[in-house]
Amino acid sequence: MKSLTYVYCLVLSGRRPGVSRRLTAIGVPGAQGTRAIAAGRGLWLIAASVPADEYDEAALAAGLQNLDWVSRRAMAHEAVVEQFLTARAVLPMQLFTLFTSDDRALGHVERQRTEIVSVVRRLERKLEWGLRLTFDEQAVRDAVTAGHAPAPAGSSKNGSRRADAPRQRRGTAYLTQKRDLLDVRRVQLEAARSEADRLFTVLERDAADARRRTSTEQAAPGSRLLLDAAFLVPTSRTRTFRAAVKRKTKELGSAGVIVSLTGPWPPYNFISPSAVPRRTATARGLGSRRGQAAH
Amino acid sequence: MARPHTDSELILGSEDASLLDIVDNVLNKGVVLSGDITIALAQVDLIYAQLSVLLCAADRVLPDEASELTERHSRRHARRSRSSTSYEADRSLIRRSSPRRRA
Amino acid sequence: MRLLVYAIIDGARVPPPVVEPSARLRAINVGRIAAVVGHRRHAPAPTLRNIRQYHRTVSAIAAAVPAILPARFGTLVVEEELSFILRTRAASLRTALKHVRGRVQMTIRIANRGGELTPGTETHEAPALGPKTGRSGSDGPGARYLRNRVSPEDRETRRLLTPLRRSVQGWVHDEQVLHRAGITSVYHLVSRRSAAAYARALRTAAHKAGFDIVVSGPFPPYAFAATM
Repeated sequence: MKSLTYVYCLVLSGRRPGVSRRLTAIGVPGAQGTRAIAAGRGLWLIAASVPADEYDEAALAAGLQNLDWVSRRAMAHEAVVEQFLTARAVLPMQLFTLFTSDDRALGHVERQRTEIVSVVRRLERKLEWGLRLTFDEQAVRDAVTAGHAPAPAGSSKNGSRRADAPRQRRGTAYLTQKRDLLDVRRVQLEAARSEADRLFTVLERDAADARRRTSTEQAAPGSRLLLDAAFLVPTSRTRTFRAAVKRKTKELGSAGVIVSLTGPWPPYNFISPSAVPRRTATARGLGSRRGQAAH
Repeated sequence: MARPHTDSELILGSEDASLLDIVDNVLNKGVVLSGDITIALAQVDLIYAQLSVLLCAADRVLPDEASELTERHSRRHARRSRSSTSYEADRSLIRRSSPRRRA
Repeated sequence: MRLLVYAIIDGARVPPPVVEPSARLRAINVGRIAAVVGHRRHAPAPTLRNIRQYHRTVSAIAAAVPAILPARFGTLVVEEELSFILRTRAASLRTALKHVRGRVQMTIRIANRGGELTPGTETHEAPALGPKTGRSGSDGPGARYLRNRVSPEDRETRRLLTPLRRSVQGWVHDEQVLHRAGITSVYHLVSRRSAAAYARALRTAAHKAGFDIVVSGPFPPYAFAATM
């Protein structure tokens, strides 16, 4: 056969989703005729035709050896899926979900319909937001250093030290500063970590679901990544969610924590249900697999 | 149960070993035979988690074509979150648009 | 009645090896490859009994042929579908058969509490919206390469595996590594006749390095059957 059906995602929509030529332009290399295929009851497949010799098993086996080849297609895949964020629900397919024909794609959806419907119900009218908290060690060190500076001018977070500084001899001042800088790592990093945990707990309450990458806890002691989490937020609560993050960003800034909120994303991390009920889990990994970590 | 003395005992005794091997080999291994092709690159979320790796890769391959995409992704990873988009008005009824197919 | 697929083997004009007469297996040839199948109405449930029986059948077939790709447990298809699969995937299946010809799988297990969880190590399969795929220990070379690029081996695992790898590198044609619950499993594809020497060299190396390992095999190449 000459071409295969490449499926980007499933979309839940009351009427046929608009598909412009632009989708083909931003889609996977070689794609043609990006289209919405009706799968019944408001479900649509967003698919395109791709040349078989570029996406058949042999081509994929070769392409998978090449991160560049894969990444280019991964980003194109993502670009198309994102176009449907405004739909009632979008279920991204995994990279390289290919069928030999549209009919076979529909047949597959039909066989999986029960599962798909339950996933759609969970994800309907919700979007994923990514939250990363990193510890800005340099900023905190700078604050400590500034606190030890002999010049009285300039804003310093360590006001009390500033008052004492002119009185101390140079040697003592140096040692004190050294100690404080070491403290940055030990004490403030710990404090930053608990702040990050607290923020996760607070935001989790407002979200329909939340997942965090457990490996940050196993990361090296000096690691700067405090939290890497995804939240599934009802679209009706987007504003309050973002406002909560913004509020906390100011508070956390003084503890040397950088907050990075990204989104909205298609709900890649929430396709599979959590294994553990949300409220009793302390931490879970992003994505289905990592979430079932401990055996 | 006695405390294991060696790591190998920790892993398993010989009977358990063969059972473990059988189950380990038979479940989740073996060639998947389906007319359709799909792969799960050890989870897509892995790719997205390492997006920064991909960004560099894409830059190297296609500085022009990839630039629009990489730019969008770079912006996304900047501290600002994206501006809110408007959402489709609620369509309360989803009508059957085609008869149910038989598998 | 549908076909339960046990394995893919080289195509042949002679009848399939008589293994487990009670299972009434037959070979369906398409081009230069063949599927060894039995007849069933429903896919067998993954009970211990069925898993053991499946393993016995695959092992018996493996003993009689030079190259075998064990099929995923419970692969049930209609005959037309099977012919379609064998036709469209002939090239990649032949490549995979070539890779495992004359070779067996050996499994090493090591306690590795320091080993970090790497992606693709979970056995739980989340409900996939796409067709079921090869995962978790049966990834093909392409998928493995990518996974390693993105998430390279951690230091502790490398420390444990390096002396072992060195001791058997002349015999190993392919390798897969999985971590699960503090145990690292290493699957090696080695030639059938080297299996004993391989195992001896491995145990010596482990003893020298001062840690315990469990070596098992030879097995049919379950971990090396995937094509991508």
